[in-house]
Amino acid sequence: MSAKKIFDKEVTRRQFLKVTGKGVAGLAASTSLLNLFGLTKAEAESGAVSVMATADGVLVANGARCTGCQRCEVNCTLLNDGKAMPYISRVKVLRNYYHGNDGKEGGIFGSFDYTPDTCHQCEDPACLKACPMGAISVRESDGVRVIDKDKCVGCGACARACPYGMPTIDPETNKSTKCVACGFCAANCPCGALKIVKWEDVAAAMA
Amino acid sequence: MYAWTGKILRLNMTTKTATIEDNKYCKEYLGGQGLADRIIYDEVPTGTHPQDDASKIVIAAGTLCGTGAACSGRTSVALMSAFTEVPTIVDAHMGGNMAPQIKFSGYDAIIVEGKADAPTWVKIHNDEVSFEDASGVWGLGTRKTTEILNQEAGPEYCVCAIGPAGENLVNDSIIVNSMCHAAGAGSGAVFGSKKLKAIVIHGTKSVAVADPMKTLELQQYQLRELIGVNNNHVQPSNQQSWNEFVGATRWQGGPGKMWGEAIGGPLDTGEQKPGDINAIGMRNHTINFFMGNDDIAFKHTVKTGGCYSCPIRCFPDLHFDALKEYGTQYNTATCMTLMHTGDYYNGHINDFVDPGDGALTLGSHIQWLMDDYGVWCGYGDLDYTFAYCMKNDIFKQKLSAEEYAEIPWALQEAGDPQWANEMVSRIATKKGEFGRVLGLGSLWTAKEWGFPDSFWNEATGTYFNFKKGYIRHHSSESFGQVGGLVNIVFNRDSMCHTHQNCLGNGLPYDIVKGVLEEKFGEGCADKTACYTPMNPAKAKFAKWSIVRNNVHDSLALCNWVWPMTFSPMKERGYKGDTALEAKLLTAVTGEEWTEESVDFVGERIMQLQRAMTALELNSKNLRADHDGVSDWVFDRDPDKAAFTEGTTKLDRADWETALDLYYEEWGWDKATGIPTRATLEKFNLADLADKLEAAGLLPA
Repeated sequence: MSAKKIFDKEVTRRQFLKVTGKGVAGLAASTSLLNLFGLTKAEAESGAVSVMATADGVLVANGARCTGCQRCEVNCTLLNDGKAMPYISRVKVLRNYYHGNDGKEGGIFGSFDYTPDTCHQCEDPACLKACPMGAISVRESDGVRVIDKDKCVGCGACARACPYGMPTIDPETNKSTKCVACGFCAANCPCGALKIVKWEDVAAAMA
Repeated sequence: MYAWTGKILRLNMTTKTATIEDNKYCKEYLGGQGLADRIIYDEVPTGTHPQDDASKIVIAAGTLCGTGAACSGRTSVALMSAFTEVPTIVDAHMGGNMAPQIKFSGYDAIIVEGKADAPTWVKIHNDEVSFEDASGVWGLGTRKTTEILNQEAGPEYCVCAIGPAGENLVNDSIIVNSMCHAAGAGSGAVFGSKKLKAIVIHGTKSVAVADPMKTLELQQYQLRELIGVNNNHVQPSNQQSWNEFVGATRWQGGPGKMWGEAIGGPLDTGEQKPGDINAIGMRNHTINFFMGNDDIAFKHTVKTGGCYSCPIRCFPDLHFDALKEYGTQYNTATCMTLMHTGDYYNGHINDFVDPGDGALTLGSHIQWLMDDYGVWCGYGDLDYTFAYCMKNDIFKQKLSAEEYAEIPWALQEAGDPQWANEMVSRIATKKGEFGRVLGLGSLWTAKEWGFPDSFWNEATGTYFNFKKGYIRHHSSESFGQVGGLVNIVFNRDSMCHTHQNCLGNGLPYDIVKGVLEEKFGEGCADKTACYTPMNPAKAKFAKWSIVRNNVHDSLALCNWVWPMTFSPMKERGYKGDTALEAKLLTAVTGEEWTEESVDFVGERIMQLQRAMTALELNSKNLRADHDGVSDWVFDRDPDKAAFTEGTTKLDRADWETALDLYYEEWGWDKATGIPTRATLEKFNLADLADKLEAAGLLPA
């Protein structure tokens, strides 16, 4: 991938972050972005949607469409870990499924409001900074934060540092697992609750 | 070991100890139903009442459970029945999240035995098992219990609980997980007799998969080319840009079909072209299929739901403002009780908010209460029994004047939701004769209240099996003799959908017939109400339906979607792939499995159950003692002869031929319907043959 392409992505990414600010409220003002993400204005304003600016594109998690099958979790680990182990999945639904993301009103025992948690691919990643082994780095080719399994000692510092509780230490390998934005969860979500929209398309929608 | 964990967790409630044992039956019984049935045979003496000290209950995950296979989240439960004449082996099944958590905790199954002296819940996290005091949740409904135990254990734990019905040892009781996923057949009362309020489980281990990439490839093949919706209906009920046919199917989603109460406003389920994996979950709406009525169920839909790892979301998540004051405004379920409101309300149904919303609103309210109190409907057995009592004034005749006067019938006549609270709570707590007798199941209700034989025989088309206490489940109305034969082998309603999934799937009859005849031979699949006399191809189709059902319950895949007999794709000639189970099993285990070898296990499980049933009934003749059919099957539509157009009635002499051919397919003695020694030995069940012989029940 060329340096020019990465630069373009970064510009788009910054523009996008300006539009969305800290949440998705800004998104509701842009019809073209809403259409691109397959969202209605009301959905964007409902609190059930999260958009994450990942290196590859925008990861849209739409709780209105998430029906709790947890296929994203198992698909993640089959592809990335070669085994079925939802506990270490980089996308997490089960913990929100029964009683909602806040553990109170939502979930299947409440109002059915729950949303998958995804890696934020943070601009200033706490996981990377917390790692005492320097095992987490920014992959040059696409900007994704990745874990060097050889350096990782499974200390759990990344898991503790992440404000969203996303990295998980695999107790069977004693290595941290972290989202590498492969998009497999989204590609196989049966309700389209997870979606990765490429930066090229985001750029076009914001043009 | 791949796919299997190779371990079984034994919970002894008497000693409050947990032991981990090897699973010696992996390959012979696969898992799920097969494993659970075999354990019951090995460990529970014939004749044990389900609530006796010696009784056990086995909760088993399947081989494919946890591997990511589509529709692999179902849990198989085996126990002895109380609703039948004598205790017999029965299976109960639930979806939700229980089985995968058993697997991720490192077990293929959990055996519960013994009896605790005080209410107990069991917390399982991998190898850590603790027996906890349940006195604080004893008496509570399953939902409140779940809320409290999730607070104790953690939000990610799956709570499999009983309600008051199980605690009070009601025959018609369930265990339930994930709000509404229930295993019936009296499983709640088995938990209750052991003072076991709930199993609360979360696992963080892996399930090893021999070939992960092949597993994923096969899944994508299934999702792109083969899968339809619930019952594997493969064509939509509406015209989309791509479909050649429009059918009366459970594939209700499509452009303009909205989840009316979706978070953030109405959500269009949109176009759902085969091949588009991201739209599969938007296709199904079972209760809208049943309710119709201007898409009333869609209007109340927040989103859909269902079981772990299943892309077919057959549970609508419903919301009713009108039920807020009863605390039942959010509910989810597939069909049955939800659509039998009229039975419980004796037809007294009023609108709540919109015209025609009464049946769905009240039905959802009843369903919510049934799951919370832990009452089993027995696939409508309770509904029908109740309706029969209303219609024939049984309550007035059989209840004392005081009790009759005390029951607030006015609530029923007013269509008041509170009636359901009265009715369900009385059954769950055995309040009065009303509550005690209704919860016994239809056989014992009929005995206690002296119902005439017409209860079973009359042309309501309800009880295919004569005086057995369980009702038809896609019997002779589904492919004639095929559905009938499917319905006679189990000791409860036949939860087999293999044959049913080929019916009304949205494809024209000629296509269905062509695909099935290629498998089973000419004349295997009659058009509905255009039946022909029995033939060997029908016996093969019926047997395969049961065999594959057992395979599914053991792997455990949902037989309400599997097998992939048909496909939504015109390019495939709408033909599915019935070898997919074997292909997946090969990919996850790394061992070579074929359609024939998985079906061999499915057949073994039926042979085991059949021999167990003969022992339990102490019967030398299951043909006479077990397989009897109600008169309506042959006598309905009196103005029409069997095998003429427009009737689903069967013919008595032809039915005897049907049994002959069916028994022959199974290797059962024609005169008695009991497996021969040769048959049992073929399936490595010589021990069963020995036991039958010792009891004087083995055919000569």
